[in-house]
Formats: sequence, structure tokens, C-alpha cells
Amino acid sequence: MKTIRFILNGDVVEVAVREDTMLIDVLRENLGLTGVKEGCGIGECGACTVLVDGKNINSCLYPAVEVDGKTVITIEGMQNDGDFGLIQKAFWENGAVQCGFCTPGMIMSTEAFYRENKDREDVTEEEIKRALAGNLCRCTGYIQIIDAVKSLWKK
Amino acid sequence: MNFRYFKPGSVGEAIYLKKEYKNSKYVAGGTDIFVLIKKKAIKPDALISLRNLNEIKGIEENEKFVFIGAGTTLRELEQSEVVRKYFPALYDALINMASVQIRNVGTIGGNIVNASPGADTASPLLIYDAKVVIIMDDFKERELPLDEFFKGPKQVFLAEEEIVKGFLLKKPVKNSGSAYYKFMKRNAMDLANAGVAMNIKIGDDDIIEDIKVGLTTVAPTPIRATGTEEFLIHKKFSEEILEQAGNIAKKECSPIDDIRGKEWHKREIIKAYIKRVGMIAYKRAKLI
Repeated sequence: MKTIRFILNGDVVEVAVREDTMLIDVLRENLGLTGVKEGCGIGECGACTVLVDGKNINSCLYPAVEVDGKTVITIEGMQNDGDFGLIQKAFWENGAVQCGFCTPGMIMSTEAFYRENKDREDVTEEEIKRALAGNLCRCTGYIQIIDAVKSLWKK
Repeated sequence: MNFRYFKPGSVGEAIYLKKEYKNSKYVAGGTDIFVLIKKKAIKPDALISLRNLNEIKGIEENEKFVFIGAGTTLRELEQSEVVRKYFPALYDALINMASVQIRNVGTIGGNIVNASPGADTASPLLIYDAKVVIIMDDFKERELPLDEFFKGPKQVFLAEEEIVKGFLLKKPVKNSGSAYYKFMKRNAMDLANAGVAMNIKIGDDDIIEDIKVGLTTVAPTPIRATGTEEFLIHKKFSEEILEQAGNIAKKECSPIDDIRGKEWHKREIIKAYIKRVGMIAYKRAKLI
């Protein structure tokens, strides 16, 4: 076991983990953040996406011991005082959520994309598709999701 | 899963740990290794992470060369002005690789050492005459051309304890242009069925003064299409000549029927893409 310390959704946490544990398991099992979903477990579907030091990564392929000293944000950290945050609201308003399983990952990838591009006038649909290529959705057909992301630049 | 995981802070410490643990593996971004471990295809007792070695990260340039550290992530490369400016074929490859999540973690060193015949960064590096810089177990360095580094599918000439430090690339000369294009079954998150990289130097009267062609997924390793290069050099550039070159490339590669496609289809892709990539590279050469 190794003790790691990192900032999780704004709070410092310290947790003892097995060296061969992936970040997703520590987030879900040890820390109770079940908003982080496991779909494929091999980095294809993006349901487990979280931000590590501001970058979106697949937490199913990221060793927990590598976040020692880093900052992690999950879907639980995206809320705004008990209400939806900006991106969550955009998804809700555009009907971009159906079964909801892919949504936490979708929102985290959108957050990373938004952070990088929010000061620009606009973004293209092509850029949005590239930014979300690593997040699969089996319900929406992506149209509403892309609309939701686009709407962030229209406010 | 059941392995020890070490996070050495220096190359020296990494090599020491690699010697200490017999059934161990170096791991860079881990986007391939952790999948293999989860599928029980490999069962290492220990993993030695190269993620925290600043000695093998980053991009440096001088007048003639650019050095890309093996530990540089694919995303860092994609966002690098140096890559965009000097190595457009590499940029073409990077933006179509996997997903942002994977590129934020996966490294160029990992992509090359993993040595898949379909490694997307390989054929672009081949056409820029990349040399692999390797740190040996006595901490001395050795260099070898990338096309001599690949041994076979998923195999490279790298001793157990050695670590790839990075890749030395020649900056493009005047009037040269390059491009990479791959065929995929879907437009995102897919591996190449076949791909072509080309670096072309156009002289007076559109004469091809220098040409390098790299092919992906159509041989046991990423390869240079030397027969195609010999055919094209010193000829006058035209669509017609690319068409003929495509017929040579299609014959000189050695694809197999597999999950990614049929042999005949991969050969046809190569033929078509020699022309397509050649035209893009030519246009880029004319722009500089």
C-alpha cells in the first residue's frame, strides 16, 4: 500500500492505495465518487473521464499512485453550489442526456475543451467532434450533445 | 492485477529498478500496457514508470535539428508550434490518433517502442530521417536510424534495460513539403488500415529533388518505400507520375489479410494515397 495525497474537487484528500490500482477504482470504491463511470475499462468509451491537472484522461488506465500531488476534478466537482454548473446546464437545456451513463465523461471532456477555447469567439463543429471523439454515447446520436457544447459559445 | 509500481525520478534510478526486478516492464503513458495487463496478455511483477523523468521530455531545436523527448505526450506535440511548422506530416498523424484522453497521456516514445506496424507516428518520423537516441544501461547514449530500430511486429532493437531518450529530426529544407494520411473504418478513434507519409522537395521546373515515403500497416513494421522513392527521384512532378509511383508502392509493400482489412484492399489504399498524399505534400512544398 502507498499513501497518496491529492486535491480532489477542491479538497485535499489522503488515501492509502494498492500500487496496481487504477484511479477510477480509488475514486469509486475508496472515495465514493460513483459519478465516475466505468464502461469498457480499456480507454475506448470515455465514461471514466476525469481531469488531472486540467487535462482530461481515462481514469480506467491511469494508475492511482500517479495522481499523488496533482489536482483531480470529477463530475462531482462540476456543480455550482448544489445547482448545475455551466456545462451541466447546457446539456440539460439541449436534451443531451438520455440514459446518462456517458454524461459524466462527456461533461469532463467538454470542460477540458471549454477551458482551452473559452476566450475564442466561436468553435467549429469539427473541433467539437474531435474534442469528444473519445466519448461514446449510445443514445443520443451525438446531435444534442454537439448542440449543447456549441451553446456554450453563444452566451 | 498484481504488480508493484515504481515512479523513479531519474533515468539512473529507472535503470537500477529495471535491473532489480526481473519480470518488469518500463511503462510510459500506459495506454497500451494497462490494456494488455487487463486482458491478461502480459503479467509483469513490476512496472517502472517513465512518466516523471524530465530528462526525456520536451522539444528542443537548433539550426538544423529538432529533438523530441520520448516522454513528450502526443497532445503536447500536437499543440507544439515547432511540430506544426516543421513536421506537418507528424501533425496530420497526431490529430487523428485515438482520443484527446489517450493523447494527453500516451507518449511518442511509447508509440514507437510499442512498434505496432500501424504506429501512426512511425511513418512520419521515417520521412523526416529520424534517429532514435537510446540511453544504454551504462548511461552512455547510442543513436540509430529509426528504420533500423524496428525488428518485427511489436519488436524493436532495444535491450531490456535501455531507455529511449528521444528522436532527432532534420528540419525541412527549402521548397519541401510533407503530409500523412491514413484510411480508417470510422473517422475517429480508429487505427489505420493503411497509411502513407511523404516528404518531397521540389526544385526548378517541378523536378523532384528529394523524396521520402513511409508506409503504415502494410508490412511487419512501419517501412520506407524505397522502390517508390527511387522511381520518383529526379522525375518531373505530376499527377500521372504519382499514379505510376502508386503502382510501385502497392507492389513493394507486403500487407496481410487481418482484422483491419484484406490484403488487396490495403494495396489499393496505398496506391490511392500515394497520389493523394503526394498532391498535398506538393502543395505544401509550393507554399513555403
